[in-house]
Amino acid sequence: MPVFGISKNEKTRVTKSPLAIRKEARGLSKQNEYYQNEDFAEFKEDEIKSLQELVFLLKEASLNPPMKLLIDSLNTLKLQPIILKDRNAYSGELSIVRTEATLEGTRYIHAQYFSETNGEEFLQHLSFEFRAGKHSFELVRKMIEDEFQIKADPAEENADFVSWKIQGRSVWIKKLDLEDMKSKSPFNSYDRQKDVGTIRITNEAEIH
Amino acid sequence: MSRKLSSILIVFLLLFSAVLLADNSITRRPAPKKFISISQEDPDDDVEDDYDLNYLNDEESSFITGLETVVCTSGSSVNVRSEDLTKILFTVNNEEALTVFQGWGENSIIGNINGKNYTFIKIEMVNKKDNETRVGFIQSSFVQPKSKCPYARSVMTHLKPEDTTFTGLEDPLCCHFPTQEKVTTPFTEGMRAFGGPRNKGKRAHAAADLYRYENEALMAVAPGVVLRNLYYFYQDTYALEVLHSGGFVVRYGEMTGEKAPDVSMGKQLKKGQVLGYMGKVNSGCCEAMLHFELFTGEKTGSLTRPGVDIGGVLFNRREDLINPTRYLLKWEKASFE
Repeated sequence: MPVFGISKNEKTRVTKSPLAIRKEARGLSKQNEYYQNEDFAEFKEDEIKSLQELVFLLKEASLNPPMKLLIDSLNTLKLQPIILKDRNAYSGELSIVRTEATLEGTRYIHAQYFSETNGEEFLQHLSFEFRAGKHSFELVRKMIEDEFQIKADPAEENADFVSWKIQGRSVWIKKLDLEDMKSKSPFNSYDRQKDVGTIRITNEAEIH
Repeated sequence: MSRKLSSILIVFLLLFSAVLLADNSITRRPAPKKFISISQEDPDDDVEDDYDLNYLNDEESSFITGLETVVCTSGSSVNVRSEDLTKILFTVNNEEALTVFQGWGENSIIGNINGKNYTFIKIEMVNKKDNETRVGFIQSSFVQPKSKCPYARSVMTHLKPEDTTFTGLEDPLCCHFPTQEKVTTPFTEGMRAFGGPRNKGKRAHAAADLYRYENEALMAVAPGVVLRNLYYFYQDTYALEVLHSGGFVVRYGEMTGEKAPDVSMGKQLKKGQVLGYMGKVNSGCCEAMLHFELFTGEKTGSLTRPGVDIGGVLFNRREDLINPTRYLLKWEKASFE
């Protein structure tokens, strides 16, 4: 699995995106900490790595990357991005970026961009999901806190939900329960037997 | 003696079978995907996947409808099969909306039909009812973003409300209150009110929040046409945009993800028609509500505009956003008193 342009063994280089360059500069420091943590032994190395890739992408979303850059990064991860585009003369253009492929342990990447006729783009929403597990919520929370370098208390917190206000945006994680499975989604499908406990992870504009 | 010979023969046959099986496992195609061979006739044809970036610059039509993923076929219908691909569970028609299941690893299976390999994916039909068969496997080439499907009849749609007798917000017939009954908590005060403080006063609330009950039906305030299908709004709630007769635009926010019957991009709405259902943010912090945003329609472009203030107040909305309170009060009175 490439790491934003760098292959797993860091010998074979493929096309880099600017996101990749930023990530390279930052280094891949935290991986061992997660692998060696006994609480997270239930997760495969590739699952932890996938989560790291996408949490990094989630952090970059706060910088409002152009859609092309996001697509480049998804292509670098071999995720086969799909664009669903909607444009009208009254309320402009909304593009949704999703992926056909997934990284192990993750799924349902979903980005929403509003675009203006002058070419300005605004990433309103980026989300994905991580598989259910005994410590999935704790792993995701720790990784978010590490990656975003969160020092402040959460804006909202309960047993299954945590949100933080970061750079004028809302970053939140939610452990999906049976009621969430029953709710209909125009984008995702759920298996009520297997998917309870899935973690939804989102970085979105505070639009409310 | 003959019994001894029989035993030797059985042992020999077992050993021979084991060798055959081992050999078979060596020569089996090392496909990472589940591989199924079926022999039934299938009229389905492959359509080339093409998600190139040039598509982003496609300006050939003024109106492109595309937030849905749909069945895309030049034929009349497509088969949806069981997981082993041997049974046809139901058929679906061109342009029917669906969602695609993703798992945590492999997401497709390969089926061999009449000697040719096809990729199948698991899908769920959006508009089928719970008691109908709605989940099955379909050839992946028949699943496309609506805006990319050459067979989608409504990809290019001219969006105009057909009811022109209704002249807009100041029309005496305007409008139907968007909830079923009166709100449970006043929308004229506190955080619910238009202009209420957000982010410690750094920005202002761009809507009036109408509190009622989760999953309750929400109604179109006036005749109109759906500009934009449901999209993510905030904390796993959704929004829908409508151009109403007379030219004003409403963003109905914090709805559930459930589609109301016959409500999708380009569909005409009647005054009072159910267009969705009241949602609740997933933090569990707040009551269910409709987040009601009102725009005069004098401007065009995205309704969300980061950094845009109106009258010196930061709303992060298009400049023709207006306070809906006086209209909502009038409509509430007319609808329920």
